[in-house]
Amino acid sequence: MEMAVSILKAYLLFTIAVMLVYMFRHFIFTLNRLFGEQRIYYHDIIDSDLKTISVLIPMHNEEKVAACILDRLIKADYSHDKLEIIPINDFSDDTTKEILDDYAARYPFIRPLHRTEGERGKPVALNDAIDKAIGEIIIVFDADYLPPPGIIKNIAVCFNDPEAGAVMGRVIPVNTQENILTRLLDLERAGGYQVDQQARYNLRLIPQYGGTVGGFRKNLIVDLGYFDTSLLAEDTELTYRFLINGWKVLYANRAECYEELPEKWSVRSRQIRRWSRGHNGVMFRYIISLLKSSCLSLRERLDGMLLLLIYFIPVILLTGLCDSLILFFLGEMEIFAGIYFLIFIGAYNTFGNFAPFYQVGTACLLDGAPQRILLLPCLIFNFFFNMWYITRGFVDSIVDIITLRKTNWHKTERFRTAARRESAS
Amino acid sequence: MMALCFILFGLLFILPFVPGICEIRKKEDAEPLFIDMEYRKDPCYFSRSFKNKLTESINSDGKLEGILSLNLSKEETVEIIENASTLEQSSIKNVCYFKGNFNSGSNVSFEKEVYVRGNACIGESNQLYALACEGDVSVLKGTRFLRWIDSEGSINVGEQCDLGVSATCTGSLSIASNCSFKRLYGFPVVTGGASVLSSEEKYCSNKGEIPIFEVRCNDRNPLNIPPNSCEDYTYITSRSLTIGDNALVRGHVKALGDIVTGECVTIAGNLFAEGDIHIGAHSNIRGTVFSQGRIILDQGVTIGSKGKVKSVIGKQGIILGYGVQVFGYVMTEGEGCIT
Repeated sequence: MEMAVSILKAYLLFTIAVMLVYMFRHFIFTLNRLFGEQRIYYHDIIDSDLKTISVLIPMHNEEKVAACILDRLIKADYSHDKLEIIPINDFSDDTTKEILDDYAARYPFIRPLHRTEGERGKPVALNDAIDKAIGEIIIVFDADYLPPPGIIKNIAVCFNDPEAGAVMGRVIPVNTQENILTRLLDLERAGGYQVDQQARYNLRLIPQYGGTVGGFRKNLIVDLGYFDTSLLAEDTELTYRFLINGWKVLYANRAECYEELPEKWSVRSRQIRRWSRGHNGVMFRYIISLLKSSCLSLRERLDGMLLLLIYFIPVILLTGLCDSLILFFLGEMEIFAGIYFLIFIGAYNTFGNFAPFYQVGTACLLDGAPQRILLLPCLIFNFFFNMWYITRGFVDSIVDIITLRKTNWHKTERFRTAARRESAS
Repeated sequence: MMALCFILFGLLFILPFVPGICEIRKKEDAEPLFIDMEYRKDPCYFSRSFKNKLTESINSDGKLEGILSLNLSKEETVEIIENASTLEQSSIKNVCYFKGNFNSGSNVSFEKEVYVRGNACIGESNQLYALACEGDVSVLKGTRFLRWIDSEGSINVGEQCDLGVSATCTGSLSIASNCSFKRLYGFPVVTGGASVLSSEEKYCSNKGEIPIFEVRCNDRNPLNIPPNSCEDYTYITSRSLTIGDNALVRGHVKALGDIVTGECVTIAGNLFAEGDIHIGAHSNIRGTVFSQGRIILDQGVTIGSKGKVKSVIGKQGIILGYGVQVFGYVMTEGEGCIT
């Protein structure tokens, strides 16, 4: 019994240490965005030597949104001689195929890829499309996105930097008004992009390629053996494969694009569970090679590790909470005593607990939307919701490794109504 | 007592959520963040926007004479003027629309935008809010632009002028010494005055078309590229890099520190640095030059080449020496000056 209590106490201390590390990380990012030197992105570059671009849009039963994104991309401020758009019809059984064929007949630079054989899923669909693509740069959008006309140029210009392997733009939710879930996810997105990604870019750490509103060099992904179809987080995998091989991922805060958020908690739970499963799969595969990589600085390796562990932390926290409850009911909560520890606890409860919330609040300020800060306390609901489903995703990833089972891709449900489709086009 | 405690606990528990619940109900800040869905990068944005508003207002008004009250971003008084020379040391408070050529005297102050359909000659020590011109523009010594200057022809700027936030034209933009700027756009942007433009070939180290090799150099963190060498690699280093005189790099260069080149260096690709970039005299960079620090271009440096558009972007500042030519765009968030 004594041994068990000691282990529980040690685990609680471990949990506290991990939380402190992430607290400092959030604070550094927030302070950097508020007061630090901001690295400029390359959007001001004007260059007549445009690279050839292939825009890939994976689609599975996307009849609600397919026409909107194609209408937006047709208006792209990029020479049509250097641009091709490849919507990937991945085993759709609605009218997606007909919509794509109709656009292809009208616009020669829209070249749909209809997939009806082989595996289904985003990574394998992207691999097939990359084979077909003629562009030097691959840009990926999810089908529910609404790209503005300048975004292709904004993303493509980054590849003038010879070190840039991939670039990530900023995702802005479009259906924020729908309900409390979309309002809270909007806050998460703001914190994640406006502060977290930009700060990592400023500090030359590891901005993450997010799989959409971003691009990468085609020759790199081909040389590195295409996307691994056994992983659900092909975007995270690309980030780490590029980094380990000496290429950088950049973040373009000005390359903004609207996306549609899940409007149901059930849809969100499946989405975040899938992200957790995929991200943790990448963590198991790449954490050692990341730490051993000679192409990265110590800071980059450290930040890369913390980023890789990001979907493992809720698991630590959840088990840490359970651990503290057990210790409480065993009457074994007295681990440290004394005035300094009391001051530490006070300081942590005043600032540490709220570090991610400062990050989100700062993002709202920078975005000029201060009224949204009123919603910050409500993020507690998302916090527990995410913690639970991320933990389940983590368990899924463990089972994936143990059983070597095949992963199936589940598309996120779309919510776009006819009225919204009209305004989006 | 217990019930009261529970009620108090419940109230205190709910209290932090009350402002959020009110916001969710009222939806005062529920709109998606704004993205300009029509945005396209345009270095001449300021003048184009002004011209569009002016033209639309004039078209809707229907007449082009006398003094008009037009709705530009707000209600403005616009003076329609034939070919004119303005008196010296006067101050003009309205937007001016010159139907022909325009010459201003010295020490004239224009508090609002000036639009010229013909050519414009701005006298010494003028102060203008902004100038849009359909012909060529000549700006004499000591003139200051508060916002921007744009020409559909060429611009020739005298000494000690301040070009505001943007000076753009479709022809050549020739600037004399001791001028300051934020953004320049011209074909080419040339420093040292019109005499440099006429003797352009003298300063261009013309090696014809040079292929660009994207393959990275095996040396992961080189410190220098030797003088007179010819390198068929792209160089990326996590330190500072020095490139020797007369070196030819047929690739791109990136350094996480500073980049310093010797004289008569030619780089076929782009030049990127996290630190400062100092390019030696008579060097030729065919691609874009980008620095998170400062950029110094010595005498006779050429960036880009005829028929192409390239950029020189230095976050913290740009210093252009005599006889520098940039085919395209120059931009800094700091201070730009011509020595």
